Amino acid sequence: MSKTLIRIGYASCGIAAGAKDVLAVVEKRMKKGSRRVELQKTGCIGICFDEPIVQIINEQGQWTYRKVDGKKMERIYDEHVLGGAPIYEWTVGELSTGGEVPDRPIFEHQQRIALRNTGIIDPESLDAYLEKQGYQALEKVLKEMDPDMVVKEIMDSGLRGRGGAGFPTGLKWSFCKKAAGDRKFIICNADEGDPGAFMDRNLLEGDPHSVLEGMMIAANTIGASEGYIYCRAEYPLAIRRLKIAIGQARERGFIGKNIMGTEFSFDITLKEGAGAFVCGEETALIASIEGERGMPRIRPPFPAEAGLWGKPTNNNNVETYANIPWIILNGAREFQKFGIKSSRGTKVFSLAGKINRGGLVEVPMGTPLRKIIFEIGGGIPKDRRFKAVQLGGPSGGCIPTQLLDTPVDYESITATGAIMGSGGMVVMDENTCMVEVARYFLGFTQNESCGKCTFCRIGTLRMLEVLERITKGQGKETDIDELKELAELIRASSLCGLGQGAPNPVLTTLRYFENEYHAHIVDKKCPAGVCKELTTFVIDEEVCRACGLCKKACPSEAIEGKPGVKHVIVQDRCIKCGSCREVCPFDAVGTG
Amino acid sequence: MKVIIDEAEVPFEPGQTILEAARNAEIYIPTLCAHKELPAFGACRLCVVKVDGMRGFPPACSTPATDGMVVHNKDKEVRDLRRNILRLILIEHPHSCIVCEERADCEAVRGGPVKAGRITGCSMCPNREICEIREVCHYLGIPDMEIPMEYKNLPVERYDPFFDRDYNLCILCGRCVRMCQQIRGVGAIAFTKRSHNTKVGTIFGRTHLEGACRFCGACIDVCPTGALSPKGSKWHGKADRSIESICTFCSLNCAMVLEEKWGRVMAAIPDRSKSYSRAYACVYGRFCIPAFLNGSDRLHYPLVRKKGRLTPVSWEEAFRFIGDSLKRFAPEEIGFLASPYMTNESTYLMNKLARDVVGTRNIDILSRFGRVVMQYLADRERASSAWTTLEDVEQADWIMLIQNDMVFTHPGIPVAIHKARERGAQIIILDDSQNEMEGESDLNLRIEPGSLRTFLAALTKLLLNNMKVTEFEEFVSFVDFRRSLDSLKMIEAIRLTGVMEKEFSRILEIMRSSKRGVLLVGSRIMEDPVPNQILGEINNILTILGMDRGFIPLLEEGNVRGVADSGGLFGHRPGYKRDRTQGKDYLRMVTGIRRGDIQAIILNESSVPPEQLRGTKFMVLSEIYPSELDSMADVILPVAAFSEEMGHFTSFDGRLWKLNKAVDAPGMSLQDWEIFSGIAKSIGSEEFVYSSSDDIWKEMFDNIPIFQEGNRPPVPQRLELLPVSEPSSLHLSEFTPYVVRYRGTPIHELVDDLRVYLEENDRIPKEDSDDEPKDKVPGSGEVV
Repeated sequence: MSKTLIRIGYASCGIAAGAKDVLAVVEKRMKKGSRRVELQKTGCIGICFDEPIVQIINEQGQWTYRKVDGKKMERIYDEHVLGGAPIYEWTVGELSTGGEVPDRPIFEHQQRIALRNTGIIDPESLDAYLEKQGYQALEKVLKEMDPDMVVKEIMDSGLRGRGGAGFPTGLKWSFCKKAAGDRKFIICNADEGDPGAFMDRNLLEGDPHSVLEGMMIAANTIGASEGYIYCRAEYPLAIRRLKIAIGQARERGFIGKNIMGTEFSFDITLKEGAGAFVCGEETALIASIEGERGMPRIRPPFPAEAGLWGKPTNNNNVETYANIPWIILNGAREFQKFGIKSSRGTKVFSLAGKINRGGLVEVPMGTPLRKIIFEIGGGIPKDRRFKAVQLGGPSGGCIPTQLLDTPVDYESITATGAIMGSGGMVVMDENTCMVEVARYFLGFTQNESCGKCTFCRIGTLRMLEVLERITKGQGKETDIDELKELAELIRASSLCGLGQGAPNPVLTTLRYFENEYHAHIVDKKCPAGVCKELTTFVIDEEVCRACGLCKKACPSEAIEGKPGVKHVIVQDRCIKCGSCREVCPFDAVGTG
Repeated sequence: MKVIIDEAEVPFEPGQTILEAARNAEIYIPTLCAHKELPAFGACRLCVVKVDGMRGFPPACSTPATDGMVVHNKDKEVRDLRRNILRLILIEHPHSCIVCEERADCEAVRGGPVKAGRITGCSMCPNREICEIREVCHYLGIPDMEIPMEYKNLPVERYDPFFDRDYNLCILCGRCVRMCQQIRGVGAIAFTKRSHNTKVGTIFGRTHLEGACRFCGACIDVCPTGALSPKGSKWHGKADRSIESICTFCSLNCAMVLEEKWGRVMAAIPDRSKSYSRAYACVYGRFCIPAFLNGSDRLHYPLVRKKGRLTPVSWEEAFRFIGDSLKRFAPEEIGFLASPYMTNESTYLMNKLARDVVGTRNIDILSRFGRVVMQYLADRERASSAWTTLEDVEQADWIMLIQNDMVFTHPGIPVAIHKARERGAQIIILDDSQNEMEGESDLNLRIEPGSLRTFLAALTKLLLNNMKVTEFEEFVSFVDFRRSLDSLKMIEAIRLTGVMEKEFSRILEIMRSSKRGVLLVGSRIMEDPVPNQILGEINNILTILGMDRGFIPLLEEGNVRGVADSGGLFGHRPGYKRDRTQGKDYLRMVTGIRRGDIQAIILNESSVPPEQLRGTKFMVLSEIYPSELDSMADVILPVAAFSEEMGHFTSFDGRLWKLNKAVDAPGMSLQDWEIFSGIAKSIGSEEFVYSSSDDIWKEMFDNIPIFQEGNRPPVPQRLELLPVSEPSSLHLSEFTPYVVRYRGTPIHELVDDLRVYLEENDRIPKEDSDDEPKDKVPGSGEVV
């Protein structure tokens, strides 16, 4: 019999779900000796909701096991790996033969370019990357292309900045290439901070070398010989794997002097962010690398002319760099095949919130939101109604049901009032209060404001106060106008993206869910039953089957009832946490 | 090139912003965070404008002007936006007075600010008279303030010397932070925390004294609110008069505006209206001038020792007494010691009195370092030349700091060095002890104590390697020089100096990279028993590098250079005309006193150690405060301080600055030149017919070329190479670091806040707190 490959998803998502136990079992069993078994730790396979994921790959085909734990792994090892009998009840879905990715609707609509190696190769092995055409793009660039050709190729591909703003990458490179300077810098922005976003983390954990290679290609193109990766310190695994990757690349001469025997020399420094969201803004990020307080700087001069240490600097996002080697190897034309109009290629999204299959997906630009959420993401748990999807983090906005067919491309998303952003997609169901969502996101930005601009520092605080007032049932009729006015002012005159984007969650919720604001202000009700001051939970006697689940779940012992007797909420004791509603299998708990 | 601002065509230089163009054309654009001395920041957003073809509302302070750009500054949208911004700013700033309807009447009744612990409105704010928020409100109109003010309720910070900080008034414009970090290069303060909790603060919330603050006060000068206020002058309100003058505490002679109120100097504000580098200013000038000059024991009357007791007398009696007494001595028995703080005019008259009326050649400057340097240079015909200036420092490609404590002796110069370094200049420190400038250095060479001359010799030797020496062969003492270098062993030099070979090559590389270098030489070279050897070896290096400029001795006292120029230096009449006749310089005068050759001393400051003067038969001392010398003096004359006199000073670089009288001198005090005129008359001279310092200046100006503007000769070509000394461990002379003083009195003796600052930085010994407070000046009990 030939070899059997055991592949364990060993990114943050897998480890958090218990992949360490699974790995321990496999390693223990392997010690007993079996030359036919090979173990591979990979990055995130993308099916985060089903972690820990274990794949067994042999001549017969590929099986993907979901929600594996130590015990299950023992059986899988004994029965499937050694015994050759797959345990079908635990596998993800239909059995497939061959192919690198498991066959399942979740992957059907995906197209993996940035994530081409994530979940497939061992991120801590340079050889694994080399097997997947690793560093061939760099070689091609160094030996066969001149920088102008590279810029043209990237420009032709239509690749736009994946950090959110969507600035054409080739154009950005050409600016920096043209800028005069004795030293130039390349920065990779890995300070991913949007709530619910984990694209960059999983990419760095799953395929760090592709990012390094992308940076090196950019460096060679613009004439830089030093690079910085600015990664937030909250990503310890990403940092560890980056360090390993940088070390390996340096050892094998991909980083260093005269790379591949050419004139090109390059070195990379890893800089850890200290937890300020605003450091994702490129000028603040540059200030932070310089050792200054992370505070956005005025533009002009733009970083392409005077960035890090006052030298021309090119700054791209992790995902942008990861796309580069693929484009170089496959050509702009291939890349152009994906996506639509002015948005070419693919985009990685992290699905989170009220969604059945949360995880990491990469889809061609132009894929409708509905497809991502309902086909790939599997829709909303418990068949609740979809209410909105939040795109673009705290600077983004909420897109409602009626716009679910919006294709994901920069222009269409912007037209809805949201932004493409870095790819965080937070799905909300009918039990989500949109005023509270706006308050949450504004609270986040307000808290993360660097304090520099008047509007961002004081204006957002004023807005937050208004929203807090509304969620507490103290809203005034004039509040909506005040919110709109302040929002427009903040947007019009803030220095950086953080301030300019801060009012977006409020503006989009006002645009699509103004009735909810009115309900809070005029009727003093929270339709979703989230705002405590405006909510009472009641159990519908008609529907209740007296199962007792709610009574068990209630943390404040506010529910009375016994088996056979319909349950009742004692309002005095109720703390309005909504646990009863969450657990009720019959949807008997409603808001009154 | 032109921009159009509200239909007005405004010319601009490439690189200027809309705001700069508007300001040049005197078009007002409201700003709070922008300041002409600081880099643009773009925080307050008040200067937003509308520009045709640009998205949104770009801020004028950071948007570059382009040709033909159409800017709308008075547009209604712009105005509304600005008013809204102002509204938000006012939420964070106590504004009850601004929005109060009774404001005009109230302010008419209340003259000055009301002293208060907490400031909740303009009536209690020390900055009311110069508040920029009020200016902006005046322009934009007071916005509706339906949102109540949010008082931050931060503790008022009063625990540091010199200035208080009330961050409840702070609008976070960041001017102080930019000033401290980017202009002064200190970085004692920064933004801390974030969001609406953002506050300007120090590292880990320490006091400024424990932090890096150098108390230059530049932050106060740029603060648009009353958040930062000087303790000494915050409650005086608006000055009666502002007088342009200079600070004379050190030889930079920074431009200052002296603020006069109630007949006293109440504050001194750096005058940056003409050039920033003319008024770097520092803790001494910014904070210490009023406290130092207004001390309660300033001398008021001439005192003459009668039957062993000093007794107040009239000027006539004092002069008569001096005249009668001087007649008892032969001219060569009389010595003159010139204060390096008197004006050029007064020095000119002292010279005249000494050399022409009394007929002695015994005259010299009272300055430990300045005297040696000026003598060295004057003997080599370099003293009259135009020297390297602070602007040269700012433009230098490399700067070497040799044995100096400029952070405490010349706190303005580090600002110029920071500016140079921002431009890319390399900074080398050459010192045998810890140097405060280490944070600003690219190469920090800590040499072994006493090895400076060996280091310089080794450097000279290395410099000459791979160089053609033919051009030097004609030079004085070249053969000896060459021989002295040949016998110098590098191994020995490395052992003695502790400087590694690769550090030597690094320093050579930097020095050879450009001729635009500057060597700043401090008074600690006086540790060497023969400081002239050090000066000579530095001269060697400059000669070999072909640099005719670039040497800056950090002259300490305010007018050392001017006093030397005007005839105060031994052996040199005004304008460095050689005095051919024999005489005694300072050191010979001191030994002369011991041996009885010198019987009478006339001096006009109290910096001389008493033991050096013990044995004089007759001593005339002019001073402003009582001193240790009082017990020995026969006559004590009250003299005017720099704020009380007219005349000229010459700063370290040879430029002339005018002193303007701000207030009357206390009591009967006279200016030095008036005293010298009186003495001259008392011994029968008819020549002293000057009625004002202008008269004297006219005579000096007409007769001495170096006092005519721009008339200083270029630095002459160097034709000398001094043989270097043999490597050896020197026995260093005893040396106490210089503390800044005026007329012999250390500033910190009258300014407690300064004493605290200097003690904290180990510049002066800490006073034992258990002791009873000492008399400020020992020996002052002598006065009747």
